[in-house]
Amino acid sequence: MVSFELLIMYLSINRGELLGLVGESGSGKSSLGLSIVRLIPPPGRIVDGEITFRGMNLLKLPEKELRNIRGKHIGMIFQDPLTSLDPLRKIGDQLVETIIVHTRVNEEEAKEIALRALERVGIAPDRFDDYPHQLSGGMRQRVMIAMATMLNPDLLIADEPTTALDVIVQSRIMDLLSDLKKSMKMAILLITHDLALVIERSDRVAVMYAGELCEVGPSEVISQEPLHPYTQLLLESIPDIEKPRTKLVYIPGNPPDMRNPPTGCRFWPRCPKVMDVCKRISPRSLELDDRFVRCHLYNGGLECGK
Amino acid sequence: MTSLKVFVIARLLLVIPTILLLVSLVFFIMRVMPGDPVIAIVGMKAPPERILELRKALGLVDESGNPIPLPIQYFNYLANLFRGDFGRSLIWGKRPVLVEIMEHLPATIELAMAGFLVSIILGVTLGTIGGWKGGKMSSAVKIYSAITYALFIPWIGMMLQLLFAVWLKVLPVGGRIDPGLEPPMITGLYLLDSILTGRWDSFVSALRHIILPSLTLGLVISGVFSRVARTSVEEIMRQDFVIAARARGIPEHRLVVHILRNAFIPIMTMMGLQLALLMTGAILTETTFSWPGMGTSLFERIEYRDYTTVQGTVVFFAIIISVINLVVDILYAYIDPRIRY
Ligand SMILES: Nc1ncnc2c1ncn2[C@@H]1O[C@H](COP(=O)(O)OP(=O)(O)OP(=O)(O)O)[C@@H](O)[C@H]1O
Ligand code: SF4
Ligand SMILES: [Mg+2]
Repeated sequence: MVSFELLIMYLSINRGELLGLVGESGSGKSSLGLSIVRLIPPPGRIVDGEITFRGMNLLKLPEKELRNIRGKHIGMIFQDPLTSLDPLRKIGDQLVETIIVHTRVNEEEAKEIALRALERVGIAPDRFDDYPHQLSGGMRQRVMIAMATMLNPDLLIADEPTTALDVIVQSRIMDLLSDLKKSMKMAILLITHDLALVIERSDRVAVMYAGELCEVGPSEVISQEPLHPYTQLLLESIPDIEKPRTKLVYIPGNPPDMRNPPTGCRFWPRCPKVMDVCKRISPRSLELDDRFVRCHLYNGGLECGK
Repeated sequence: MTSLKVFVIARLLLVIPTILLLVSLVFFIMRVMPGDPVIAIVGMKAPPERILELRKALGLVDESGNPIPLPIQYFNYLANLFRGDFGRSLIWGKRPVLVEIMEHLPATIELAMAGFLVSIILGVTLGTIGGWKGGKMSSAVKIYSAITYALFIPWIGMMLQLLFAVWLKVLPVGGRIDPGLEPPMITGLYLLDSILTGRWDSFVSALRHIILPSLTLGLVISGVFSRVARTSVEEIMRQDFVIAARARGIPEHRLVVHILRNAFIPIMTMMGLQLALLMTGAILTETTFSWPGMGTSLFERIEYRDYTTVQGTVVFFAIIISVINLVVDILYAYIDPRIRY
C-alpha cells in the first residue's frame, strides 16, 4: 500500500502490518520516515524516487494536497514526546486543532473526538487541559499516539517511539501499537535501533545500513536465517538473557560518512565476508521468496549493480 | 492558591529590595562624586549664608548648621522617599521635584510608547519574515539589525528632520504640538486626550509632531527586536514540535501563530531588557526634537546643577524601570506556564 525506493531497494508496507526498520544511529532511518511525508529538513532533499500511497506518488503531489494527507492519512510519532508537543498549548487544544484542520466538525465535536482518542490510549479526560510538561513521559507519548491515530490514518510512522521511555512503559506503548494495528488495520512503520524489539513485535523487518536497505523479510525468517552479513552481526550482538555469561559482541569499525560513502557495497570496510567485487560494485537487490537481500554473496558475486 | 498567584506575590515582594538597591546606589553615587556640590552650584565666592542654605536644602547639615552623619542622611533620604518626597528644587524657588517630574512625565511616556510601538512593529515584523523565509531574507534582516542598532539617535534624528521638515516640509522640525492646540488635560498624553475630548485639530497636530521622534527612537530600538525575533523564529522552526505540527498537516498560517507565540517569550524578555535603552533613547530623542519631556528637563537641570531635581528624576527613572520589569516578569509567567514552577 505504501512503498518507497531507497537507493536500489524497494520497500512496502501493507494494511494491518507492522514493519520494523532497524539500523545503527545515523543510518538514515528518521530521514527515510520524514521523506515519506516530504519533511526532510533543509538543506536535505529528496533527489529521486517514488513514494506511492493510495495510488498517488507523494513526491509529485502539490504541497496543499500533501498537507491534507499528513496527520489525516499518515500519522507520525517522534522519539521525544516532550519536544514534539508545543510547550505553550494545552494538549487538548493541540488535538482539537489537528481535528479541525482535517475535518468539517466544529469545536465541540472535535473535543469529543479528542477525548475519545485520549480514552483509547488510557489518558483520563481531566488531562485535556494539561500542558505537556505536566504529564509523564509515557503519558506524553500516549498523547502523541492518540494525536497521530485519532483520525484513523492508513499509515502510522513511529520513529523510535519508546527510546526515551523505561522498559515497562515501553512494552505498554508497544502493546498499544499492536492493538491499533489489529483493531484499525493500520500499517505501522516502526523505526528503531533495537533489533530485539523489532524481532519480537513486528511482522516484517527491514535492515538499513548507511542510507541503504540491506535486507527485508518476515521477522521469524530473518531472525532464524539472516542472509546479509550485517544482519547476521546485528543478531549476534543482541545480548542473550538465557546465557548471561557470553561476552558482548559488537561490530568492529564505524559507520561510513554519508556525505562520502565507500564505493561498491557500503558495508565492505566492516564486512567479515568481503570479496573483491564488493569494493567496486554496488550489489543488486535479490528477491528470494518473500524476502529481499542486497549482497554479492547471493548474486554469484559477479553481476553488476543498478 | 494557584501557583501563578504565588509567583506574582513573590515577585512583588522582590521588587522592594530591587528598588531599595537602586535608590541607595543613586544616593551613594551622588555623595562620592568629586567636588563639593554646593561650591559647584554657587561658585567659590558665594556668601556663607547662601552656602549654608544650600547645605540645608541638600540635607547635609541640620537647622543649626551641624553636619549630619552619612547614615542619618541616608535614613532621612529613604524616609522622605517613602513618603513620596523627592526633594525640592535648588534653583526654581524650592519647587517640589515630584511636581517637576509629573509635569514632564506624560510627554516622555507618550514618546516612549510611540517609539516602542514603532520598534515592535518594525522589529517583530521584519524579524519574523527573516526567520520564516530564511536564506537571503534572513541575511537582509541581519544587516538591517546591525545597521539600525548602530545608529546614533541625534544623527538619525537630524537626518529625518532634514529630509521631512527642511526639504519636503511635510512635518514639523520639533516640539510636541502647535502652540494653542494643547488638548484639555486628562491623562497628559496629547494623542489620547485629544481623542477623548474630540479635538481633532489637536490630534492631527500632535500626531504630526510625534512621527519623526517616534520613528527615530523606534528605528534604533527595532534593530534589537528584529534580531531577537529572527533568531527565535529560526530556532523555533527547527524544533521538533514544529516538525511534528507539520507532520500533522497544520497549515502555515496556523504554524506562524504558534511559532510567534513561542518566540514571544524571548522577544518580550528583550523588550523588558530594552526599557533602559528606551529611556536613555527617549532622552536623546527629546533633546534632538525639543520634546518637552523628562529628558529635556533633566538636561536643563544638569546644566543648572540643580542636584536635588537631578537626583529625584534619576531615582524616579529607576523606580519606573523596576516597575516595568516587574510587569514584564508577571506577563512572562502568565504566558509561559513552565515559569511558575
Ligand atoms: N539517503 C541519504 N543520503 C544522504 N544522507 C543521508 C541519507 N539518509 C540520511 N542521511 C544523513 O544522515 C544523517 C542521519 O540520518 P538520520 O537522522 O535519519 O539517522 P537515524 O538512523 O534516524 O539515526 P538515529 O538512530 O540517531 O536517530 C542525517 O543528518 C542525514 O543528513
Ligand atoms: S556485498 Fe560484500 S561487502 Fe557487502 S555485505 Fe555482501 S559480502 Fe559484505
Ligand atoms: Mg532517528
